Parts: sequence; structure tokens; C-alpha cells
Amino acid sequence: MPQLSVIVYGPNAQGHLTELLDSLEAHPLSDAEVVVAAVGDWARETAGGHTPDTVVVPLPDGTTDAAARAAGAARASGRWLHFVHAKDGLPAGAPRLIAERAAELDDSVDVLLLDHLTTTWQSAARPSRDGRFLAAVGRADRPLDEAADLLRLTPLLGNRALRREFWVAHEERLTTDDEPRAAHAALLYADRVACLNQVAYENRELRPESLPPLAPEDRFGLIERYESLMPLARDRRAPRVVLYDLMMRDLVRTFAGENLPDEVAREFFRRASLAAVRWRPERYEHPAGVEGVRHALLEEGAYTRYRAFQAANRARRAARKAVRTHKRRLAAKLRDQQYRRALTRPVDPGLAVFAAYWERGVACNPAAIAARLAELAPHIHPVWVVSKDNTALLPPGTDHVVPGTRRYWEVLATAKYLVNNVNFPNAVVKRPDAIHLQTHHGTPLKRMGLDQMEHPAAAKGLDFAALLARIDRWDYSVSANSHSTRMWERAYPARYTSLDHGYPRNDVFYTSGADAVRAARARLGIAPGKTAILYAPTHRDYEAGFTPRLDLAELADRLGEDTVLLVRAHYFYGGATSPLTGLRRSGRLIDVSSYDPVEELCLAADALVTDYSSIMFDYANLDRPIVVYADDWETYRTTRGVYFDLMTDHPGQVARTQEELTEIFRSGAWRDDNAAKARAAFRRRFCEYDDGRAAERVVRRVFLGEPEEALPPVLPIEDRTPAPTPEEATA
Amino acid sequence: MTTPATTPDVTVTVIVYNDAARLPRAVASLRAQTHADIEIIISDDHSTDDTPEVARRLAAEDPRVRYLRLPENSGGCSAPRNRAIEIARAPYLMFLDSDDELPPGAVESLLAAHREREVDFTMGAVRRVRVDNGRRTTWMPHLVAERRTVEGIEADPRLLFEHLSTSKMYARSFLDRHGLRFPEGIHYEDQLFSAQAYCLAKAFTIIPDPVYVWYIDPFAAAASASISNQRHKVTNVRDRVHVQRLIDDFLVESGHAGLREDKDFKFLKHDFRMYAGDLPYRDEEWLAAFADIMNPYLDTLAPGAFARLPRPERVVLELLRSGRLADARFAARGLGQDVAPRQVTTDAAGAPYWGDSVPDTERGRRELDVSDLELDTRPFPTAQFRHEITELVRGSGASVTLAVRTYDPGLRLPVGPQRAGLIVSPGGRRMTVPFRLDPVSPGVFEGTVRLDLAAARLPLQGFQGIRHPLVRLNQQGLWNSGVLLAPLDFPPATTRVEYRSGTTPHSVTVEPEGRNPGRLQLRWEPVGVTAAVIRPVLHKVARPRVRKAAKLVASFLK
Repeated sequence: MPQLSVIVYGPNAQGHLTELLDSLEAHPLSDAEVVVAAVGDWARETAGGHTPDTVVVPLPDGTTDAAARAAGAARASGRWLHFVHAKDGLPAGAPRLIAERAAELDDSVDVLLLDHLTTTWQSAARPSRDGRFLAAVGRADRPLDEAADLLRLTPLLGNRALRREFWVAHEERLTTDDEPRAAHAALLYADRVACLNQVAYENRELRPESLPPLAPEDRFGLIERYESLMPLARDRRAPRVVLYDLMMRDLVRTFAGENLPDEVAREFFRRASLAAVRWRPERYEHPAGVEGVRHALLEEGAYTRYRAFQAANRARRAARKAVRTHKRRLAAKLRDQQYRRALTRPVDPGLAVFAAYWERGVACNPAAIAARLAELAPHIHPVWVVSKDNTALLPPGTDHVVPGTRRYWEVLATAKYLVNNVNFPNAVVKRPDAIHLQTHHGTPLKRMGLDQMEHPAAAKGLDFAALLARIDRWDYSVSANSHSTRMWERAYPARYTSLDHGYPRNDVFYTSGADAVRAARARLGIAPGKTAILYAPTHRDYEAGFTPRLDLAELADRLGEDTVLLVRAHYFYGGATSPLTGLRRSGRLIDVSSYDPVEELCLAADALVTDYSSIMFDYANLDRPIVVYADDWETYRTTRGVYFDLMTDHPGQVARTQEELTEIFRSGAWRDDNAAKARAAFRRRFCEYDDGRAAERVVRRVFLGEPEEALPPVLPIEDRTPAPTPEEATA
Repeated sequence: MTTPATTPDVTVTVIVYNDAARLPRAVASLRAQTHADIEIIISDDHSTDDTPEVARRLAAEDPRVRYLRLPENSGGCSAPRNRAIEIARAPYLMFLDSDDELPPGAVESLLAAHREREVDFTMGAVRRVRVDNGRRTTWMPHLVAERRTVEGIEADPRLLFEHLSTSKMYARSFLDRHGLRFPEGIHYEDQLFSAQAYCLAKAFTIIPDPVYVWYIDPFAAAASASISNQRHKVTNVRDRVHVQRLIDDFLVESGHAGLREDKDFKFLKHDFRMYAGDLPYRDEEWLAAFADIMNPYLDTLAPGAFARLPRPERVVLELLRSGRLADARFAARGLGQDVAPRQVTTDAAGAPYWGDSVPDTERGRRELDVSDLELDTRPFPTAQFRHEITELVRGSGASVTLAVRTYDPGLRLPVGPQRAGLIVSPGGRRMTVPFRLDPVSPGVFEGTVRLDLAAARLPLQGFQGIRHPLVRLNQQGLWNSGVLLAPLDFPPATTRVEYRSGTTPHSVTVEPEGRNPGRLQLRWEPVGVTAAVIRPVLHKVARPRVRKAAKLVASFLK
């Protein structure tokens, strides 16, 4: 008898069953079986492709969810049942997790509760708010009366596993098409319940508009739900209070939130009021504030007064909103005036405004320039533009302004120097005696600026006229190589001066010594002798969310214990256990998605794996191996547009599949002579001006006004010494 | 001393020693009992202060009061109680300490329970009142939640946790039948006496009504603390262990050896736990002496009792038992506050152990295996971290700069800068000070934050009280807050802060908490016009009804 039967039930709604079954197949189950109660032909065909590992129970179209569940459960042989709707998903390894936890439980436990994630068409894998209730109970099992708050868990069947014997004993009472009712009832019937405080389910909320419409009368189902549940908690004070809370919340919300026709609304209110009075526990206290007033009115059955209260409340909200909008507009007007007035004041030659990646903080080329500025021109005071959220991340003592504030507009109006690696907002006015320095934030592979006009997927509604207005403000544009200089010329046609001085942010690759490399590795916890591979894929414009392109667990496995993967991508979400958790624990996989500065990661890594990210041009400065992993080059080239063919002009090796990538590392090809040759050509082309003195040249040229001839010349690439490799640094 | 002709229903004995100040309050609570037919014996353990005069005056005021003075000081609670039992005339007996009170209905309801059904004793809820902040809680509420009669302690061994002798009304015949008296010459006599009473009673009734008011001053100066509060003395440890051994012997003799695991669990969860909380504050010498007394006794406990404890307490016990005293001190910080260990070490099979090594004994591996804390998988809001202040520098005014180190043994935070926030909420208004935590090595982050208490927004009426800042972290829209551990000792500093440009002045103190878990402690004290005018006036106006209405209006105007 397997420990767990995963019962997938329902029609192949919007095709999600395929993903679900694929994910189940990708992680073979040891102590669990899969039963698919497939409703309709499509679901049956889909499930058929996964036999013989799965048991398929074909059911005719139109079979209700409840009937499908029952049919699936009838074929299940596991000790525990986990009902999974065909539209939902299971995070990797979830069945194993549930089976392992279930194996610890004896037969007095009837229900095992889990945490889940929620996915909608526009947001992926949002954590639930259930964790705290599960955490409060811990790992001991107990009767519901001692842990009544568990009723507050999202009422899904997917976030609870049921012991099969319990299901058989209560099957009739749990067979209802109202899923929340079945979910609550399972808890109320259970002798004892246990918790697994980990994410083991992914609930997909389909667009309500894609489901059959609800008739106004269907709202009465909510009242019926609670009328049928409350008797189960009649003499149990704690569950009753919680259930009553939930009922009142749902009733008030439905009544207030749905625009029901008056007749239905009156009837709903009458029935809801009856339920509110009938089931009110002794010594129950209403919540405080407005919500308490609502409860009291509902209990009194005072429909007219409730409506009046509602109207008053709406009027209050509308008034408040009007006041706020007005205030905001007034404030905007005031700021604008202040900005205009400040623009008439003389420019302050001792003031420089810095910004990077919109308002992210001290980063990239602007950060490197600011650091050098402090040494070479300490009389110029730097002020950073940082969004409110990011002020926490500023180095202590950084003078900064938050966008929209009075001082923000003042410094933007009066600063002589404005430095950014993207553009300042359209509202910023270019004063003739102010100097705008555009540093950019990477050597272009993908098409930029006006060149995006032919690639609507990339441009995504970019306003090209406004773009031109923005680039007209530039006085200087920093470039790291003649490729960039030429591409900027065509992408951003305007009358700025190109500073062919190299990228200031890459100086660190020449100025750092062995101690910096060792320090970066210590910070990340990479043991000496291990090979650290930095994996930094770029964001895809043609994808809405993040799609993993590599099976990291497998890659780590194949590369062996001596390889550490530094991953800069959103592979990890809150608490979900996956094979990655184990790898993280053992230090073989490190989540560096938010690491800052990224240059330090480069210093620490023995090799770089990327697809089309501009990090490859920076990393090439270190003269360390680079492997391009481009599984979708054709798509990328077509949708985004590119300036050169990376497949031929690559920096070392190219892999088109995960298999090839693995082989490149296992065979040693990543650092063989071919790779070195390709890298040498790549460096010659793209590391042209990066010699470690870029920031100095930019500061002396722009802030100190020295002529180009007076600047230190760019060192030929043969004469540069990049920072030692980790191998050299730890030798 | 007058002796009324009839027999009273109940004798309540108030024991007193040098407590003339509070004795009248205790006696007054007895005289105010709704059941008036009682006898009150003031049993004085040969006080040397004004107690005799006060007691005689009380006896003169009310014929029900009798005064008994012991010829010499006994130093404990047992002798005064036993002498009183000798002269008590009623068939039911109760005991009260001079610093506590009985609620008005206590005697009535306990006596009613006796009359309802013949039992050996009846007991009720104990209401604990903190002297420092007036907070009221019910002691062991789950044990006294409902009215019931327990036929033999085996039916509910959890009751061993309720080891007070005072919250009960005993049938005198029960005590006499078993020759049950308070053991003299030892401390923690309550524990032995209660254990004996529980075991010997055939049946006893529990009622949910409050029958005893217990005033506690948890942070009274060590010298003036009552006997049970002097945990800093090694003799105190010895006494407590001694009484445990007496109880253990009694359980065996009386044929209740089956209760041993429950009783051991109670010892670990209650008695040992109190010492565990103090460990960070004890020096090495004390720790060694503590281990010498405690460890041999711990070896005699039922292994099942350890298994029932929460993991952090098992860790402290094991570290103590295996002689890792300095580690035990670390582990004991933040017990019950969800504070993570600084570090865990994983063995070949992937099981994480507390500390920097895999234990080499089987018991060590069993006890120090922290898998069940789920450090790496629990949802982010309940994830465990350990935030410690490594350096504390006073700034100008009421500001202080803190160097914070965060340990993340579950590797929950991505390696990179974290947006952290320091949260303090004086007077219900939250102040958040954002700061940056940078990774320094796997699972360790460091940051610096400047906390300016003058920037706190206090309510109009000011704020009086203490607050402990929390460190808050964020991941994907989920929040996690944890306590901020401060150095155990640093010089406190008080500054006057003129909030609202001097209209609500306060004195603000930054100090160590001085007890477990040893957080950073901030104390606000209204001074000047706040203390003299605003608060008294508002206190008069703001009746609960006014307050409630004000809240509703405020929520409406939001």
C-alpha cells in the first residue's frame, strides 16, 4: 500500500493538466501513486500519455468535481489521499514531502494540512498567508478544538490531505461541489489534525470571467454553506467562534462587495441576518470599529439602516478620495512651480546628481564615477536619487533625495552635473549650463533605442518621440568599445560627445588584487579549490514571468561536488521545498539574485554562464572562461533584434542544450585552447577601452574639464593585468 | 483572643513574616468573603517588624481573626502553616500568603464544590497580577478551564504543573487520615506537599472560578525577592533538586511510579526552564556548580520527558549535560522567542545539528538534531533568524548607532543586501528605521542602523512604558520580525527629549533588558508638562466609553 494517492480530478481546464502531469512525471514518486479522474476526452487523452505509471479513470464530459473526486478515490489504494484539481499544480517534490509527513502520523490523525501558493494569469506563485496558522500548531497533531485557527486556512481541498479510511467513513458528507464547504467539513469531522508547514500545492485561480457566470441566487449558496457547517461546531466553543468569524466576514463581504439586485439583496440580508443571530456563540464580541457596526446591523436585520450606513461610508470614501486627489494635484502643481522657480536660480557648480537604474541606488557606472569623484574633485557634492523603498539599501551616510520631494526637484534644477545610466524623467529640463552624462549600463547585443522600432515585442509601446527628447539632453555618452560607440550613434542619434574611455564599473576588474577575490569568495562561502560558475541569464521581453531555462538540480548533480553554482535568476520562492533546498543547504548552489555589486560576483567566479546578458562583456575583462547558453537564440534574435551574431562571435563556447552545457564543463572544453582563442578575439573587440582607468578619465574630462589629450591613454589590451583568477588568488 | 461557640465552616490561614505593610490587605480580602462563616488565623513566623501589632489590631477588629505567633523563626512556610492546622477548628482548610489575596467568592465557591460532592480537596483558578505593570493572567488556564472532578491524578497528570498549595481547599479529614502536613526544614515545600496531596487524593474537584490572587514581582531586586525567586543562589538549585528527589521517592513509595515521566516533564518544563532562562547571565563558576548539581539529577529522569520538550529547550539541556557550558549560554538566549541558533552543522545524511560540529554521542545527535525547527523550509513569516547587536555607540541626543549581525542558519535570505527595518512602537505608533544588511559569509549578515528616538511620533498624551525594537525582514511581500538581542550589559543612558517642540517632554532611556532574552530596551517616562498636566487630565476624561467612541470616529476619519 503506497503512503499517498495523488488524485488528480476534473477536466483539462485551459490545458493546465498537461503541465501538472509533466511535473509529476519529472519527479518520480517513491511512496505515492497517481490516479487521474479525467473528465472529458481531452483530459483522458492527456492522461493517457502518462500511463502506465498513472491510473486513469475516464469520466464523461460534465461530470462534477465532487463525482470525479469520488470516482478517483474509489480507485486509490494509498493510506492518504491528496485531491489535486486538474487546473492546479504541484511544486516539485510535493507528493514526496506529503508522503513523508503522512508516514509519521498514526491512524488517529484524519487530516494533514499544508501550505500553498497561488497563481493567476498575471502573477505566478504568490505565497499564501496560511503559514502562521500552520506554524502556530507546529508538528504535534491535535484535535481541532485545540487549534481552531486552522479553520482560517484558505478553504481548498488541495491544501489538505485526508486519510483514506476517514474519507471512506465520511465520503457522503464530504461530497459536495462547494469546495470550501468540503474543505471546512473535513476539518470539523476530523478526530485529530496535523500540519506540514511547507508549500506543497499550487492553486491556480482561473479568471472568473472564464468560468460559468453566477446567478444572483447562487449567492445563497454561501449562507447554505455556513448553515450546514455551523451544526458541526455546535458544542465546540473554539471552532464555533472561528467559524462564526469567517461566516460574518464572508456574509458582509459578499453583501457589500457584490452588486446584487435589490430583491435578491433583501433576501440575502434576511437569511444572513437569521444565520448571524442563530449561530452567534455566547459571549461573542464584535470586532472594533466600522466592521463591528456592520456586524451589529446585520444581526439586527436592519436592511435599510445597513444600506444607509453603506451609502454614508461610500460617500465618506469618495470625499476622502476627492480630497486626496485634489491634494495630490495641488502638491504636483506646487512642486512644478518650485521646480520652475529653482530653474531660474544659478546652476550650482558644486552639486552633482547621480542615479542608476531609475532609482535603484548606488550602482553601476555612476557609482564608480562617484567614488572616483570623491577622490579627484572632493569639492563637488554628490546627491543620489533613490526611491523610498531603496533608501534602506544605501551605504550609511549617502546624501540622497526621494523622487517627488521638494528637494528632489531643487537639486535636479540647480545641479551642474546630472549622471545616470538610464534617462532622467521626461519632466527634467536640460539647462544650457548643466552637464548631462549618460553612462549606459552595458555594451549592446540586443537592439536599443530607435533600432527597436522594427521589434514591437521589445519596444512594448515605447514612445520614440519622447525618447529622442530625452537623448537630446545628453552632453556625454560613455562607451566601452567602438562597437558601442557606433551602435549608440545609430540607436540614439543626437549631438552628444561620445567618451571612448571605457566603463568605469569595470575598473575594479583591473584594480582588484588577490585579497579582493578571496574576500568575495569568503563572503559567498565558496571553499578554496571549488569551481564557482556564475549563471546570469537575462530577462526575456517576450515572456511575462520568469521561466526556468535550466534544471539546476540536475546540472549541479552532473557537475559534481566540486562545483558551486552562483545563480542570478528567480529560481527560488518562499519556503517551497525542492531539490534546490538541499543543494542550497550544502552550499553547492547559492542564490545571488539580489547580490550587489555584481562586479564582486564576477571577481569570485571561475567561469560565467549567460545567454545574452551584457555581463559577458564586463566579465571578459577578467579573461576568465565564458560559456554562452543560448537555447532560444533564434527566438531572441527575431523578437528582440541583435547587433551581431553571438553564435559565431562568441566569447568561448556555446551550448544550445543543457546536455551540451553539461558536457562543456565535464569535458574541460570550457577552458580549452579553442575557448581561449575565441575569448581573445572577443576581448579585443569588446574590452577595447576598459583598462582600469575609465572612471579617472571620465571624471577628469567631465568634472575637471581637462582636454582629451591630457587624459591617460588607453592601455593596449596586451599590457593589461586583470585581477588574479580565484585559482591564482588562493594558490 | 476570643473563641466563638460554634464551629466555623472554613479556616483560612494567613502566613506572614515581616510583612506588616501588606498583611492588612490579605486579611481584608478574607473579611470581605461572601461566605462569612470562616475562621482567620494569622500565623506569624516570629516577625521582627510591626507585624505583631498590626496582627493584634486586626484580631481586635474582627472576632473571626486569631493571631498565632511562633516562638522562633522557622525560615519557611511549612511551620507556620502546620502550627495553624493544629489549632484550626473548621472541617475545611485554606492557606494564603500575606502578600496575596483571595477574591471575594473564593471560599464560597470552593466550599460549594465540596458540598456538591465528597472529595478530598477542591481547587480553582489562580489569577496572577504583575506588580510592575498590573497585567493579569490566569495561571495554567488550560488545566482549570472547566469544572470537573478528577478521580486520581493518573486521570490527568498535567495537573502536576499546578503545584501551588494555596489555591486549594482541603478537607481536614483528608489531611489527618494521611498525616499530611507541610514538610518542615526544606524549601519548595509546596511542590512536595502538592504532589503528595494529588497522589493521595481519591478524588478532587476543579472549578474554573478564580480562587486566589497571586501578586508577582518578577524583577524585584534579588535581595528582597521571595525565596522562590532567588535563582541566582546555588543553594536554591540544590534545594529545588532536593525536593524533586523527595517527590520521586514518594512516588515510588506510594505506588505512583507511573507518574514519573509526567512529573519529570513538569520539572524540565517548569523548574529547569526558569534556570535555563537565566543561564546567559551566569558566570562560568556558577554554571559549573549548576551543572554539578543538575546533571546527576537529569541523568535519573525518564528519557520520554525530554522528548516532550520543545527543541530549543532540549538543546540547552543537552549542551549542559555534555559540558558545553558556554554553548548552553548561547542556546539559552531567546528561549521561547523563536531565536535561531547562530550556526547549524549538517551531517552526511543532511540532518542539521545545533552548533559548529556534529555531536559524537548518540544522545547528543538525538537531542541536538534541529531538523524539526525546519529552519530552511518554514514559511518566511515564521522563519527563524538571530539578530544580535555587536556594537552600540551613543550618538548626540537620544540617538544610538547599532551594529547588527544577523545569523541565518537556514540560509533563507538570498546572498545579497537585505532591506531590513528596525521597528519600535511607543504609544501604539510605529516607527520604522530602514537599514541595510550585507552578507559577510554564508548565513551571516551585518549592518549598521542609527536609531534616533527623538524622531518617534508619540501620541498627544505621551507614552509611559518600555519597548523592545524588532528587526523586520521582507521577502516577496512577506514579512518576518524577530527580537533584537543586545549585549547583556552596557551602561544605560537617559536623555530628555522635547517631543512636539517641548509640549510633550519625556525622558528616554536606552538600557539592557537585564534578563532573558536580553533585548535592547527603551523606556519612555513622561516628565514636565506631560506628566503634570496632560496625562492626568486625559486620564480623567478618557473613560472606556469615550475611548471607544474616539476610536470609531478615528477609524471613520481615516
